[in-house]
Amino acid sequence: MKALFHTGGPSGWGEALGGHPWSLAPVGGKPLIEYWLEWAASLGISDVRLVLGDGAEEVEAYADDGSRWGLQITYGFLKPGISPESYLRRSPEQWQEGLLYIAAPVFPRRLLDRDADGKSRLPVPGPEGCWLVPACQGAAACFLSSDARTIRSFIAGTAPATSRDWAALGIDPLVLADMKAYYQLNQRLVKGEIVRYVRPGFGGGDGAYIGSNVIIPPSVELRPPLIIGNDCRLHPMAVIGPDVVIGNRVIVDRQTEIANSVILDGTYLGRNLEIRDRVVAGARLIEPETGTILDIEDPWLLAPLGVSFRLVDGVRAVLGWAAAVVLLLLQAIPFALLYLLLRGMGMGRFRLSQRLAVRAMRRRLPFWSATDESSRLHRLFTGLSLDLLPMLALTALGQLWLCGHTPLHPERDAELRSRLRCYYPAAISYQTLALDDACRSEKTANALYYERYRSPLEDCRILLNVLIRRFLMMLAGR
Amino acid sequence: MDMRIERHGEKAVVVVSGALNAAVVDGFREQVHAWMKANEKVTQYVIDVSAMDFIDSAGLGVLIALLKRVTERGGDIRIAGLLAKARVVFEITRAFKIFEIYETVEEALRAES
Repeated sequence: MKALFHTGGPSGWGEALGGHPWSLAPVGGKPLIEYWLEWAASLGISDVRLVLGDGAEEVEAYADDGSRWGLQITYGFLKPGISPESYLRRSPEQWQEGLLYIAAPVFPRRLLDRDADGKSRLPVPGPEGCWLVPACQGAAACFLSSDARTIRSFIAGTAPATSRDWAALGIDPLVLADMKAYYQLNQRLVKGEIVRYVRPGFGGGDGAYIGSNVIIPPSVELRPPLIIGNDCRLHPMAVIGPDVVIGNRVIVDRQTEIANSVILDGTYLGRNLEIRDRVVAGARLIEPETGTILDIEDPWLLAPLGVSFRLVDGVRAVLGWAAAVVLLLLQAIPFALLYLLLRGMGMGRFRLSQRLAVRAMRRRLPFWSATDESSRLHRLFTGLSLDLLPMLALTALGQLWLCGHTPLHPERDAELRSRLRCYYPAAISYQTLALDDACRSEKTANALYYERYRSPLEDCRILLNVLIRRFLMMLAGR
Repeated sequence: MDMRIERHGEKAVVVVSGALNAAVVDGFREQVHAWMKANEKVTQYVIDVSAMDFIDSAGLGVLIALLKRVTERGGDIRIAGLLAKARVVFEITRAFKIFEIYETVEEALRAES
């Protein structure tokens, strides 16, 4: 018997979790995918295929080779827009001995307690019939069968008409159709209504499960039931609980109270806040009843905690700052001369436009605006990239990166900003050479590309590309 | 951020529009303080935020500082017309417990001190 889990499909609510793949969304302190892998292991399955989509890198980093669960995990990829079942059709014969298939946010709720020895074997499905959970739009959210004929018909797209009773297998699969279902499941788990799971963390006698490397000063008040993940820091006089699930790498600043809420991994909660009945994902506040999302653009209140800050970003910051200072020094005198000339002749000026700078702070950034772009003086000014000097000054002041994303407009680019997990507003970007700001799809593609492939080398490439091409364009008279 | 202050007898309405954030709080504070100094008899203020689409912790801080200043003189500050986004900021920062919140300016002006 084999398992195939599709982690990249749309969930309808996972996108609200701030860019993390929904399969890694914490449920009762553990990622959802971990329940799937445990289910596969408890059925005696060892061969698991994870089909990845959005967030592939994170899912792969988490599940690795599956040895933690005694599984052998292999990976596949599915292009967006292609149905998960089509993956099965590529080589249908390999699934015929038995198939556990999940392609939607399904929580396999256990109906049976673990054995006295702590093992968690579940009844293996018989050879006849199938167990099926339909999802929306006629597709299957979850399928389990060991009958070759049934599996063939399922793969062929003629899903079996009836499902056998899941209770016979000791499982009740819950489809997490919306944010409300996700939130309520977390609340049920933390309250202990579903008691058949080994919850993460130490303790538990009084309903408080606390992970490793969690700093809790004496003045913090813990009101169980609650679950706190690993590597968290609670500041003095914070009040946590009741019914709170806190993920990994969360900071709760002093005097903040949290109750009946789910706080996702890598979130900072500012000082003296009161969070009740919410899901918080980084700077995103979600009202679970209605699914209303609100991005709090104030890092003193809510903020993501370096979601994927890597060592390479530190190197980029240092090198970028040094290069900006050098460029500033080189450009200062020619800038002063040419800018005074251009201003004096009324041929252009810097216009301030509100954009999101580092830490998503709104700042008015200077953009060069020429009245006569064909003039030689203007071409010399931009050909020497002197129009970038004020931005370089902001880079030197730490308000921008040297190379990165084009600074986004708080309103016009809100959608793009919400798609970016990491945002590096910069003086120079792929867009610096673009003639206008109109090509939104290119802007989106560039932003997503940079987020994924940023590196000191890529920054160097962008910088040289912009400086050299602008210079050549000046020489060519364009 | 744009603001104007309208006097309604012994009360004043401070109309704030746009974003009340760290970039503009200094100007906002100075304008309000100057108006308060010139109109010392006014002790009841209504902040009309029905056109304020964004507020951050700095903006909230300046409102709390104004509240402290006004209450020291025996007055009061009420907030009217909170939009959804600003309302959430008021909720999570517990500013709801500090300010009297009204749906409209008219309600805030009518309410007894």
